[in-house]
Amino acid sequence: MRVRLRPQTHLATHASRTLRVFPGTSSAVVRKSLIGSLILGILITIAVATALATGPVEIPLPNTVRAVLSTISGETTTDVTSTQQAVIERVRLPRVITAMSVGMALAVAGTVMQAIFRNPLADPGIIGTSAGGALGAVTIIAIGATGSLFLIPAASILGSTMALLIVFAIAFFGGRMSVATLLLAGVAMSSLLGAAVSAVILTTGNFAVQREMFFWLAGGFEGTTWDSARIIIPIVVVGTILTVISSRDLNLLLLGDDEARSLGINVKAFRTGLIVLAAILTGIAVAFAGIISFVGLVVPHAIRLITGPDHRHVVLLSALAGALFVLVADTVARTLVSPAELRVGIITAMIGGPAFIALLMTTHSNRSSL
Amino acid sequence: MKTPKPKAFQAYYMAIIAFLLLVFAVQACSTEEPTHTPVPPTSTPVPTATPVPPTATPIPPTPTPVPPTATPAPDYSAFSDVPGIVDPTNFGWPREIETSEGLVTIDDPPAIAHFASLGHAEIAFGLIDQSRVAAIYSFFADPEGSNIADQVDDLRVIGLEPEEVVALEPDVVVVSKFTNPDLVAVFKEAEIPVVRTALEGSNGDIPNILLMAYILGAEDRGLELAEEVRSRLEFVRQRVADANVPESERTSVLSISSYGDIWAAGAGSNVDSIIKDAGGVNAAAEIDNFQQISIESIAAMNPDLIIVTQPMESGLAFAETLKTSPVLQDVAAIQNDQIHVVKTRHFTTLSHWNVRGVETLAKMLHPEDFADVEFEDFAQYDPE
Repeated sequence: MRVRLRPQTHLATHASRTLRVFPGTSSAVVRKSLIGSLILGILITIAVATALATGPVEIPLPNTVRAVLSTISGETTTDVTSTQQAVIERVRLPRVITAMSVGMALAVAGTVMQAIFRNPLADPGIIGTSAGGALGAVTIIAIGATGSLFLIPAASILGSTMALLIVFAIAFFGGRMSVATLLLAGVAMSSLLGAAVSAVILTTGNFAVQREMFFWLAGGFEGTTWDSARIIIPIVVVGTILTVISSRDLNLLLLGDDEARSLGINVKAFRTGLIVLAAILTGIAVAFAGIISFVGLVVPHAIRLITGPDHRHVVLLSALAGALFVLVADTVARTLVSPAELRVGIITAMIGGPAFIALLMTTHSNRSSL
Repeated sequence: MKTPKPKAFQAYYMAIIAFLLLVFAVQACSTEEPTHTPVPPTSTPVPTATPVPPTATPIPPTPTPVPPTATPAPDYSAFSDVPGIVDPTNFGWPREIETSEGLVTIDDPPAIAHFASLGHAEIAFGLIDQSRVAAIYSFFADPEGSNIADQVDDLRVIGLEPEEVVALEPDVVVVSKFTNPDLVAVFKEAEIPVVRTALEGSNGDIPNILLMAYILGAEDRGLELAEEVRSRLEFVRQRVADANVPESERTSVLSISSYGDIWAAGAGSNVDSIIKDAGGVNAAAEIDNFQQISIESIAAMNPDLIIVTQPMESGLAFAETLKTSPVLQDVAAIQNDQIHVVKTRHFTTLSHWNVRGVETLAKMLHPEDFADVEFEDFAQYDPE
C-alpha cells in the first residue's frame, strides 16, 4: 500500500491519524472517484439528451442531435426547421447548461459549508447565504439598475458573502466555534435577510416589478439565455476545481482546528477563503435561478451516505450529482404539466425529500444489520 | 430657596395654557368626520326602470326610442334565479342573503358599504353613488388595472388591516372567494354583516350584479345594468354568429403576460370566456386557469393572435421581445404582426367590465363585421 504523506516528518504522525479517519490510498480514492464520476457522467448524458429532446415543441432525437451539432459547429443544417434549431439553440441548451451549473454550484457550496462548520445542517438556504444573495439581487431589481448583466450577479455574490461572513464571525465568536450558535445565527440571519427582502419588495411602488421579484425569488430557469450561461459557467467551473483541489485539506479541517493547524494548514486563511468561495458559488446560483432549496443539503449528504465522508471524492461527486439533480428537476418542472411549467424548487423538494429519507433509512437499516 | 415667580409671569403662562386648550378644543370640534356622509339608498322599493338598450353604441343599430308610456309594473322576476337571495319576492327590509358565509340578514338599506375586491367595487360603482362606498384600497386607483380609477379620487384609501375597515363602521361588507377568511372573521366579530360572493368573470357576471343590487337596495339600477351587459354581450355574440365562421377556422388567441416569467390564460379563466364570446379559440386551452409557460410553449401553441394583458409600458416591451425572438419566427401571430397590447383592466377584471374585453377582442378578430361599431365604456352610476 502506497501512502503519500506530506514531506514534513513531524506531520507524519498526524497524517497517519488523518488516514485512519479517511482510510484509502490515493489510488483507491482516485478509483472510487472515477467509478462514481463515470456512473454520474452516464446519468448526466442521459439526462441532458432527455432534457434537450423534451419540451412543448416536438423535436425528434436525431434532429435534436443535429441542432446541437449545428450550434456547436456554427454550420446550418437543412434537416432541422428554423423553429427546432431556435428552440434547441436559444432555449433548451442554455437552460440545460445553466441548470447544471446552478446545481453544481449549490452542491459544492453545501459541501464546503458542511465541512467548514463541521455541521451536517449547514446549507446555503439554512444559514442565510441564499437570503443574502437574494437581498442583493432584489435591491438591484428594485432600483431598476438592471441594464448590465453583471450587476445582479455581483450584488448577489456581495450579499451572500456578507451574510456568510457575519454568520461565520458570530459562530466563531470568542475563538471557538459553537454549533448551536452557528445554527441560531444562521437562522436569525436568514430571517433578518428574508425580512429585508420582503421590505424591499413591499416598498417598491411598481406592482409589475414587485411581481417580477416575487417570482424570481421562487426559483426557476425560465428565460435563461446564453448570456446567463456565459457568466455562470466559468465561475462555477473554477470554484469547483478550487474546491476539489482543497478537498484533502477539508478532510484535515474536520479533525479540528488544532489538529489541522498542527498539520500545517493556515486554518484561518483557509477557512476564510473557502467561505468566500462558497458564498460566491451560492451568490451566482441565486443570481441566475432565484432561491432553489434542498440541493446544498441533500446532495452532499446523499454522496456521503454512498461513498463515505472523504472529501477527496465527496466534492467532485457532489458537484456532478448536484448538476444531475437540478437538471432532472428542471426537466420534470417544464414537462410534467406541459405546456405549463412548475417551479423547479417544488420539484427539488419533491424529489429530494423522499429520496433523502429513503437513503437515510436504507443506510440506517444496513448499519443495523451489520 | 426658590424665588417665587412674579405674578405677571404666572399670568403669562396661564394665558398660554388657556390658549393651547382653546386651540385643542377648536381642533377637536373641527376634526373631519369620515368622508362619507350616509346617503340613503337611491333606489326606491317601487321600480320605475324600463329596460335600457345597449350603450355599446353600435353605430347603425340605433337604440329604439322608448315611448313615454305609463310606468310598467315592476318586474323583479330576474331576481328569482339569483343564487344567494333567500326570498326573491321580498324587496322590503330586512332581507336575507345566503352565501358561503352563512345566512346574513340586512335590516336596512346599507348607507355605507365596503367592497374587499376590485371586481365587487367595479360593479358597485355601476349601481350606487360613490358616497356610499366606505373606502378603497390603493390598487382600486391604478388606472392600468382598475376600471373605476377615475372615480375614486375623493374616496379614502385604506390599507389591508381589517381594523381600518371596522373603524369605517360599514353597514355591510362584500368579499370575494379570494378574501382571507381571517379578515372575514374580524368583520364578523365586529358584528358587521359580511356577504361572500363568487366573482365569475364570465357572461358579464349578471347574477352577481343582481345580487349586489339586492344587497345594496339598488334593484332598479341593477336591472338596468344587467340588461345593458346582457344586450351588449348578445350584440357581439350575434355578430359573431352572423359571421358564420366554422369552429375549425376560428382564430386561435393566446392571452399572455410577463413579469419575468410568462403566464398564459388557460381554460376556465375569465379571459378564456372572453375569447370564446369574441368568437375565438383559446390557444392555451390545454392548461387550466392562469399558469406559467415557456416561450417554447408559445411556439408549440402557434396562435394566430396574441394579446398581452399587462401594464402598457412593460407590455409593449414584452411584445417587442416576442416579435424579435428567433424561437417565434414561424408563429402565425408573429408572421402576421398580430400581437396586441390591450387594456389589461378590460380583460383581467372579474366584473361586468370584461364585456369591454369581449368587444375589443371581437373587433380584432372580426374587423370587417364590427367595422361600423364603436364601443363605449360602461357608464358609472348617475343619479340623474
